[in-house]
Amino acid sequence: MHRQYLTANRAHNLYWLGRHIKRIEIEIVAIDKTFNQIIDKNKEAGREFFAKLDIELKYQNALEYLEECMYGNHEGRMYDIIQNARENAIIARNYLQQDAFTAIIELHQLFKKSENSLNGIDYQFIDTVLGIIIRIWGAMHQFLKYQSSYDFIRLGQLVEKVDLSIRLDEQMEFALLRIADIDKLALQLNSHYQKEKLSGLKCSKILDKVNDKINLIVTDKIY
Amino acid sequence: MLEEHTRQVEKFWEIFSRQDMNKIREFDTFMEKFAVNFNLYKDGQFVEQFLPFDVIPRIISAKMYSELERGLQQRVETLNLFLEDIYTEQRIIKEGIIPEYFVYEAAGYQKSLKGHSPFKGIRTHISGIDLVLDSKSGKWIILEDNLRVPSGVSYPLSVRNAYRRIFPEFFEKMHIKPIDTYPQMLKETIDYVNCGGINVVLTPGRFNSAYYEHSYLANQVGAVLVRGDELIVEDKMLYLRHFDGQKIKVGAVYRRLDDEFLDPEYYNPESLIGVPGIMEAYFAGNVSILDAPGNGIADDKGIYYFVPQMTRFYLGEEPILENAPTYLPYFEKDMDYVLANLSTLVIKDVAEAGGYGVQFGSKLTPLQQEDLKTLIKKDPRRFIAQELIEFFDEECYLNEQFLPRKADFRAYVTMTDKVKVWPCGLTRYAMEEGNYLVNSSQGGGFKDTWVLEDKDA
Repeated sequence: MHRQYLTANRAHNLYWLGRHIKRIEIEIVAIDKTFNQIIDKNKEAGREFFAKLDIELKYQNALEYLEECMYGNHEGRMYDIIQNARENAIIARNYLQQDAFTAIIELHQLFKKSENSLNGIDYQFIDTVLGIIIRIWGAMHQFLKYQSSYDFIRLGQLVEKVDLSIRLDEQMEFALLRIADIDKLALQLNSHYQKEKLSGLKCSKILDKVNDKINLIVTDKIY
Repeated sequence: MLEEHTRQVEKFWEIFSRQDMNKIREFDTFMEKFAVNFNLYKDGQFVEQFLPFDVIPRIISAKMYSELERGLQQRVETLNLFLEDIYTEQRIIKEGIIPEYFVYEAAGYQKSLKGHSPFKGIRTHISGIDLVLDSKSGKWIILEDNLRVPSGVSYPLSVRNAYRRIFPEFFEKMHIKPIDTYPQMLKETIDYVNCGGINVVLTPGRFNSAYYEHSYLANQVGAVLVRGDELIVEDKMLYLRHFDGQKIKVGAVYRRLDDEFLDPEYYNPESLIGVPGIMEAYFAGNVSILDAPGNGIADDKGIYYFVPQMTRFYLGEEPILENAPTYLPYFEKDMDYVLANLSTLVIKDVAEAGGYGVQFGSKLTPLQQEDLKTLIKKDPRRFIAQELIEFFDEECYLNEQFLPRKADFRAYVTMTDKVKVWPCGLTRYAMEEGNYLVNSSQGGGFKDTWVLEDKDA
């Protein structure tokens, strides 16, 4: 296999691509869960979920909740996340396998076309989104697993998992285990990387440290 | 030659009549799926759009292509010799073939490059030659030489892939030359002048109109797609800045930005998309830049006039492909003709490209004609005048109707120790009836171009 050359910009694009797709995946599963809760037991479930992300959400019923999650006027709207993912994919498309790239474009098209759909969106939209995301991960895993481009995507996935597990569920034990995986991957990518001890730190501090790890791997220094 | 062409076209229509026209929509799906985009700015907003595609291909018979191929090889060989000469010995000026004034006054001539010869003497690594098929004579006529950053090759390359899948019958029955040879031609061209190190494609970035093409070609030739800020020059060597801090030596740069933006230390200091010091590395012979800096002199429409004479001068041959009949108001005899016949001529500003700076005398009011005459008299070097060539109309399927449209043809030619012509090209058509401006930047669309194998001749 040829050596893969990656600039810092491209490494960032791939890392953020991994993060954005993972964020859509985790959040869409959580949105599906809260959608069901809104229908039959807790009308506040959606508001409570988004409050953990520091977002105030307004809706009257379950379907309106879905619409708000995807296209509402707030910082966490899913359509923006997929637009960011698409942008990173277009810039870094030469490091992606074709099926993964086209699936990302398809995911974006689905969001774009559904935005102005007369029927709005429903549970089927969520199922379709999850189906496409599974295809994206499958294609990446199958074709890119031995490349450093994939390592950056995986790094993004792991960081996003840790970020959301701390912010949504405060699962510190799970987060620390994942941080060990991140350190292992980081060292593989850059032999100059030095891991930091995080146990004992406050959640918010750990969150900052994890989000900053990419900057310890991708450097502006010239060796 | 036109009779033979007609036979091939008839064969196409016979197969076409059996096809399900609804499948044409699949081309749009393909473009959308693979994000085959052409970016532009409309009212200050970045817009991604698809280049309009027409399903009826331009068909070029084997016999016609063979002549075209020889003519294009001769043309590019001539232009490379001219560029090498003009930046070194300038024999063509000394021998009185081209007036000195014409060279030195050209916007594309870079005096500071005089005396430098690039690696292996190649300057026209990748050329895009624009031609039209004259409907009166049936001959190909060269309209323009693009020796700087000719674009567009990725669109026919991408769409052919779709065409073969959507309508395979044509490719089974018509013996169309395969075109997937282009990436290999391009790779050979870059490798041939590589000075040691990796190959990169230098892009202005994501918001450039041809970013899709930059990305596509880099991928096809196994080069790294980079922006200027991802490269660094140290000790007259060009390096790629790897994410982990390593420096990777670069041996060849297929640049997709104009000279002006290439190096802020050498050209425009305002350029944010170039690489400071890259020209120093180039002059030291440590990196090749494709196409070579300074090629703009050969793109100049005033210099175009002299290409047939260059062919005779450098190669001792008669030109195989003709120029459009052209007049230089700089010469008194031509000035008189241009002023007397302005209403039937096409007037071009020599420094413009992309369909800009072109005026059709027949479309100007008497007052506008007088204004133009004044401008020509004031600055004769700035203009050329050409007889209007009646392009061959290509049939297009637009809005479910078959309509004739003016179309040109950009041929792609690469140069190593051999000059190779890609057996395809970019056929661009005008959207409106009777319009002669086919450029993508002027709203034109594109078609596939099918060059047939010998067995169909």
